[in-house]
Amino acid sequence: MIDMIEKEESIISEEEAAQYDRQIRLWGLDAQKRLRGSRVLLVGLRGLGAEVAKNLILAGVKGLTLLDHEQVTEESCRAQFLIPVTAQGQNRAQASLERAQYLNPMVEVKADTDRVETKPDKFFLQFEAVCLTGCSRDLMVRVDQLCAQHNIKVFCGDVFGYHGYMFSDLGQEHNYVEEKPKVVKPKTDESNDGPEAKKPKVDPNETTMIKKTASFCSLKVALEVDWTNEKAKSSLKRTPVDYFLLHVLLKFRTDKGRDPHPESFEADATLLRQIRDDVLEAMGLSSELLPHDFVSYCFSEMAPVCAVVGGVLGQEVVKALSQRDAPHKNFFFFDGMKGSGVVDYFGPK
Amino acid sequence: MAVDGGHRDRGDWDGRWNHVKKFLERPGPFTHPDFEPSIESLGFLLETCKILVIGAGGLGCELLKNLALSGFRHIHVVDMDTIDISNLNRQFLFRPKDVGRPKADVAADFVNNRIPGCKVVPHFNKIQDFDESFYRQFHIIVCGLDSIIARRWMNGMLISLLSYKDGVLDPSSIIPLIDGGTEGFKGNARVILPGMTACIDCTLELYPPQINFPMCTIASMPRLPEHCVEYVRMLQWPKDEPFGEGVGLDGDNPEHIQWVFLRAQERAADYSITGVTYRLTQGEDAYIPLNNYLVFNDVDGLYTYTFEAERKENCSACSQVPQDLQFPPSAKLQEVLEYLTENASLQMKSPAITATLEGKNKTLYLQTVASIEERTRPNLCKTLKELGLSDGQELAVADITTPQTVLFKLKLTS
Repeated sequence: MIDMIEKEESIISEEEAAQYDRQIRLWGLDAQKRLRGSRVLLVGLRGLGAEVAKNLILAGVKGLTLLDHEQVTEESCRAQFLIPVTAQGQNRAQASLERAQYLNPMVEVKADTDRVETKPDKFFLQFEAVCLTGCSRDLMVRVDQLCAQHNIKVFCGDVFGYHGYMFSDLGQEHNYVEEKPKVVKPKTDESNDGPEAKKPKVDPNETTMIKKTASFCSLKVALEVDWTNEKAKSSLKRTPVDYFLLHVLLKFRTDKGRDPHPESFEADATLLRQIRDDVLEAMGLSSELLPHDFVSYCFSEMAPVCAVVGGVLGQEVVKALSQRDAPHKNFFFFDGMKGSGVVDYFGPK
Repeated sequence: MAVDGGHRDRGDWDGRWNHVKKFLERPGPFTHPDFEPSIESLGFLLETCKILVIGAGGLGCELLKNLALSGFRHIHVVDMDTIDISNLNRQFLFRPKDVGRPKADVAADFVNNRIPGCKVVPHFNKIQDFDESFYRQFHIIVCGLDSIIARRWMNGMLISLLSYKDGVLDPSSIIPLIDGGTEGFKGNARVILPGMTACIDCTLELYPPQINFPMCTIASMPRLPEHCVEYVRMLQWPKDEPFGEGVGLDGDNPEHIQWVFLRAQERAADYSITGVTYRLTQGEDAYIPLNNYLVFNDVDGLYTYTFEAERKENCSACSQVPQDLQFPPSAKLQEVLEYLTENASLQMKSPAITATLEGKNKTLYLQTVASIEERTRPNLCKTLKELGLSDGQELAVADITTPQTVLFKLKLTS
């Protein structure tokens, strides 16, 4: 098995074909091969990180590096399903390694215990895709800028209570293919002269691959949208409120060095409301945009929300690496209270 | 927070369930008007609530993980399948060494070993192996099934548990059913409160009809390529047993499909029928997502849409409205059978029709037992008049789609 991986094999083994059968039927053998050749970095092994790890390992990437400097606490070992209950005191990435690897022995899973902030630039360049969870805004912006220059796909995501988001930057020129039903042009010598004959017919049994390109902006630009101009203000009604919630929560993370914690609910709730007022005011927007009780729904990580966001994020990574199917551009927000998911674009037109 | 204390005996620590308490112990803008926040709710969720998960496959594994992590401790899981290697790409509670073992057993072992305090009880069974006494013990049932027939059966079972006092539904007899399904990149989830909200059969028309053909058409009068495929599938395969004694047709095995395809082509040629293709032979997938409640479509971009399905006034499963069958006396029994299978609101699979004639229970037609099928097949070509059926006659119809017999009133039109 190891030989095969090192040979950059273009033939898929029988074992892989059997195990990946149900997904190969969905996205094709080419896509699976590209996945097989991709190394991914996953930062942060909390609830969302564990879901993304599961999804990418099951999908069959070449390698997945789990990077997390935090220690396992009594709480964290029960928040995600990869860390055994006996692992307290260990590093979170290390503790997740065994079960993660066990999900699919054909993937090279590694654990790295360093702080992501201390990693030199060249560390990130060994990957085809980088996925950042639980990271500060500054770090995400920096890594995104670095990776985009080297054509490395960047993904960010977090879960705050009932809310979750993911962001992707696939670069200025992301090429992919889409499978569409073949359009059969009508024959010119068709005896039937009616309008039907002139319509190109779609043959549902035949499909063709169409090449497309998508262009993405940086996280920095996506987060720094100017809301003071008239055009932006008019689009406010159609803008998911979660975008602003994200700003508030990222600011909290930067200021406190952690996310809102149930143990300090009262103090954190007060601070969250304060940050809401500051952030929205700085954007030239009303603090009413986020209702008073928004604080009730953004503490901790709800397991099912991690599952949904982790599912979407995982699938976006798969699409980007396999260069197949249209990527979401560029944010996905999930509101677990309403059961609503929204894809929206923030950035220059 | 005073409520956090005193739970060490459960293996909890301060604040373990704070996130869950947030919505159980306080009202919010989205809570149901009948919801009463209470410190009791968390206790109920952890200690008392008994939840049944049906299916330990793709959805089942995810469900068990989410439920266990969310604090549910009394979980039962039912699945009739064993693990196959092709499951391992997504059913992550299973490992290569588990191939061949029952899914329910392995899934339960995995969760029990992993989540302290959580007790999953496995059942390596079909849902039809259990009766009301089993299902009645659960507070909530979550389905991750792979067939519409199974869903309808479950739906019918929970409806049969409803009790009415003086014509008013007793809410304590309602067991909520949360149903989910996926196919490729699409999925849906819906919440059903039997007797109160739309049930599976209320919205049956949203499922594309699963085509069934009467036996005599398949056996002797094929007209369509589908009839040829069905003939090989249902009659020729069990006779020839091309891959060995007792080896059933596996829709996912390309060699099996190829065999069926070639035989179907031969039959089609005998009757000068065109249109038998490999793709037709493969057939549709067993589960098709329903445009209801939460639709998750990740094919062309992402689309999620939540809406409320309406109950159907005369739903054959949940409305308690007696169902009519209108036919002229000269109609053949075959036409009644076709109606039961092809009507979009009924979509029965292989209904068995019985009637009380001259004080005796008479089986008019039954397909699922070969000897009885052969004996009653001639009835299909007889008219309702010839069979001795009268206007207002009650016909009892049994089918795999429902645990209870459905009673129809026959109205003979002139």
